[in-house]
Amino acid sequence: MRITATTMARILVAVMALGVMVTLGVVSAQDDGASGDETAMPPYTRTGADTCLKCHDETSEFPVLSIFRTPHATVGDEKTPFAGLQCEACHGPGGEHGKRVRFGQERPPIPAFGDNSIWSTDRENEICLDCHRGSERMHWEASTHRRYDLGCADCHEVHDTHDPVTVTAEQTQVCLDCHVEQRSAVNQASSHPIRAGKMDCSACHQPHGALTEAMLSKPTVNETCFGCHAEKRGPVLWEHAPVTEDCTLCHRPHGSNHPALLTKRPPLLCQECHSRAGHPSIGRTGADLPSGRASGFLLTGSCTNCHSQVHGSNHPSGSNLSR
Amino acid sequence: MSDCDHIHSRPPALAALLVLVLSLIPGTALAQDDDDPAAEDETVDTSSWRCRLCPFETGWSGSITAGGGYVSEDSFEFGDYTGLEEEGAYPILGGELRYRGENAGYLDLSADNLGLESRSARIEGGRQGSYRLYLEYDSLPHYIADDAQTVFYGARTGSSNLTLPSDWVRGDTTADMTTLDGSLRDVDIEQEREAIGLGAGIKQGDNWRYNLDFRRFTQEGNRVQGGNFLLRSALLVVPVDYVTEQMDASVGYVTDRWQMELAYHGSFFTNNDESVSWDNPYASVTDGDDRGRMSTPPDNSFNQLLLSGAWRPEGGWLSTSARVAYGRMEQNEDFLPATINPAISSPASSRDSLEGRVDTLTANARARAVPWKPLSITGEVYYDERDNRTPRDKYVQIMTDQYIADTRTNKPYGFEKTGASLDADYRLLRRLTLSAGASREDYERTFQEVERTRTDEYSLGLRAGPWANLQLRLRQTREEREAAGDYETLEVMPAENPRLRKYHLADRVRDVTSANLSWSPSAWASIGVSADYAEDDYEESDIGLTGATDMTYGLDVSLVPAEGMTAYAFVSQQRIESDIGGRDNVSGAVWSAELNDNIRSVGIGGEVRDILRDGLDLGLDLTYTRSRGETDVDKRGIAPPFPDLKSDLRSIGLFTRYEVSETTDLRLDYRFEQYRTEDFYYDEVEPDTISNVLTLGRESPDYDVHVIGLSARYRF
Repeated sequence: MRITATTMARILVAVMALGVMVTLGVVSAQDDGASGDETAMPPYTRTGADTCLKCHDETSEFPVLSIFRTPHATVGDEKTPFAGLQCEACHGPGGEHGKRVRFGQERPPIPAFGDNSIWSTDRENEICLDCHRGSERMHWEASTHRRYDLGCADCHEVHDTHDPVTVTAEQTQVCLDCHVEQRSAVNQASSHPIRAGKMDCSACHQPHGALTEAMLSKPTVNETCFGCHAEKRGPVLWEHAPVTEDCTLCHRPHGSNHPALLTKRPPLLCQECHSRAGHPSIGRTGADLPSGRASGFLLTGSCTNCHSQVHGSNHPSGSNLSR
Repeated sequence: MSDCDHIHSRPPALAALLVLVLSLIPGTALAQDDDDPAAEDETVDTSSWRCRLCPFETGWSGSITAGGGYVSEDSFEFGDYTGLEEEGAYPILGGELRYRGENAGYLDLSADNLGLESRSARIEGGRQGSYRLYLEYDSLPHYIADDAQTVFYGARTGSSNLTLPSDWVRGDTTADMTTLDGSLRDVDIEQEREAIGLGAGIKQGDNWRYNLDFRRFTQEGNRVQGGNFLLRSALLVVPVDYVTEQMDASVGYVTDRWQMELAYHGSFFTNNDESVSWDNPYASVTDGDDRGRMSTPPDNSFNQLLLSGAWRPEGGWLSTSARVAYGRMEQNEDFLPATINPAISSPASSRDSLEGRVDTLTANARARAVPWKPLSITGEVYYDERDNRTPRDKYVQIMTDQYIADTRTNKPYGFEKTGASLDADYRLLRRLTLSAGASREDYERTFQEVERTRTDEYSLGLRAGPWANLQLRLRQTREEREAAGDYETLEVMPAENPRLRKYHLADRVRDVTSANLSWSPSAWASIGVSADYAEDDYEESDIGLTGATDMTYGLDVSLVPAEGMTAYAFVSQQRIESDIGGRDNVSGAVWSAELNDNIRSVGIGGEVRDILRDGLDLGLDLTYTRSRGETDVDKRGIAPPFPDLKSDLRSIGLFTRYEVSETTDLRLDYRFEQYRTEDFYYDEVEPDTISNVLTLGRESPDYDVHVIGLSARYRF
């Protein structure tokens, strides 16, 4: 039996409704009203990083020495954590975590950026923002990622010399861990050079928060596209209004099953908006294939076989976008 | 929108400005009492913090990677963007060089794929926390087709003057072009994009930031473009020779509570080909229609000023940010003559160039308030205007260099978009947050069937963590778009079907449902499940797009079963459906089309370190993507069906790395890709298959490519 999209949608809604009810029940039962003792400030260690590194060397379960090949541990920069409170500048006071524990006693967690850390994501983020608030993080506070409780450490690996999310060829995998729909898109027949590792998500998006839809870096969708496709910016004499308005009316920027990232193929793509008497309105069928009449109104570029200036024409006689 | 003053209709722009101004007012006071990170430090006794065990990095270090590989088969499709398009050996060359000085001075040099068209390199240096300088280079090959054939001279040399062989026999149809077969020449369709960038950044004191970036892109190669004479066309291989220069400069002032940035963005596009001319391969219909000439994208420029700011008062109950961007697009390339047909006298034109100018104004302001702890409210207003000040004029249309048609007036397109939204998140319980939101957008356009559309959106959501290791997110959205006033079909000849509703202007109801679940059953396993469904109902449309659905669901599993071992698996499925209605010649046969795109991706892989012996790592990735495009057109119930569009991509990636010594490791890579496609738009379409379109005879790509590479990396 073939499951249609509508059936799937109904199943999805039903599952969601069930999920909501179960979740509300479980959450109510589980909720203890406590908010965690975030305000408690444990003591700092006695010897700073030397205390931490006694355990966290390269043989430990949580090796940390790679931090010394990152900007956070640069000798001579007074702003780096290691010019101040060292490990505890970011991880919070480690006096409790670093103290001796009795046999069988569970070691208290480090306050921030560790397993079972007690500080909230917001508080952890504040630690990062203390130094990294400027410029591209200007719009973080009311951003979608912040709204969904995303933490800096969810994407960044600050102990890594080459933090994957800052490396073009590796960043996409970090983003696609959550953005499943885009994972499907970038694997499609037509896509930007993302799979090849030559373009990353931040070429268009500003994950630290932006005021443009879809967290785009530029003020509008089209300005984003013109960053690499300036030849389509114009203005030109004969404009194709939807092109000028929004590239995504015809293109799927993350990937498509059709050439040039189109949402669908001409002629049907064009016939969504053009049904003038004559050839634009004719419904093309299998009779127009090479086995039939081999119609130029369908095959190869279809409408663009003649109307090849679909992005607009600056030719005085180009009103029908063929010059 | 060029003819009136819109200041009265710009409340979001004013709101954005207000936020920016507000951010300045407290700034003067707060600039004096910014939170000083050191203040907290003063309470900590760090006198015994020697950092004796800290292996700070100083001096030079780096690595060099060198080796070679082999590609088993020529394939443009496989080599697209990677540069591995040719069968044969290729070099593997790259590396990095680092310097860290005692005084925070640094130098980073990196290079990748130096032996390939996809090469890149970057050098950056400076003093951390004070200034930085960089220079970078990147090359991106774009291989489009290696099986195209053309009859035009000049196509293979990148000429904008395409001519036919001297013995060319023109015909009424492609079948009548008797010298066609003997005139076909292979031509590769490819482009190379190179980018050179340089820039500098300076931090002055605790607050000032300065940045200057310059980038120059060149894009050279060719592309396919149709060139027609009335209803008879030839697919041409036309040159691409573009240069784009971009400059960004900004100055920012950052404090803990507020910040401002003033920025400039300039973009200047130059096309080294002002037009493309080509011989008409078809028999003459009118006197002098031996050649055609079409325009190419004209030189243009864009200059923009951006002012951004953010402010958050003490206490964290409010955070605001805003941006205002004012830009100007200009284009004034000399017009081409209305025709190059010597038998038609080119009509007098009132202008030699467009003097095109578009002023853009974009303003956004957003605030997040937490009036009391469980509740947070996010409000946003925005304004986006494209004020097209391009002069309107009359232009006599010489259709396809063959005959004088009507006189038309250009319609400079402009729009004005205003919107606002309000979203609230209420933390009902510690692990349960309920959300609700509403938004409204008004969209006014010039010279369109609908003067204004209004879109309202409402949403409800839930985020819950019934257990600490399980997170659930649900969201339901309804969006309703309605045209203000009637949909008035534009007067054109031949007439447009009055029942057509263009989908971006039509009334629409969109329902979006999304559900995401992430579960970490143990410290070494995490599972993510997501499903998204969107349904569009164009309830007033019966010609044009009438409905669409988009459904995606996915499953991700990540495992760390043992130390040094990682594994993953994913499945994602997307199904996109569209329904389109049409009618032949306005009052003729009614037809309907249903398009379904189904894309399924499956992947599994992992990496094991120190397998069998210390220093030996192994990694494996397997992926399969299957795409099917179904096109069903129902017309009088007798139309033959279309075959499916098919593509299947199977890929195996395997690597092993062995650490020979502390400074040297060897890496062996193997990659296999199999690609199978069926595309009825291109398959079996020879240059003369279509009577009125002389094509390039391209087929949809298939390949089986093995790549093996062996490289050594030396670290120092």
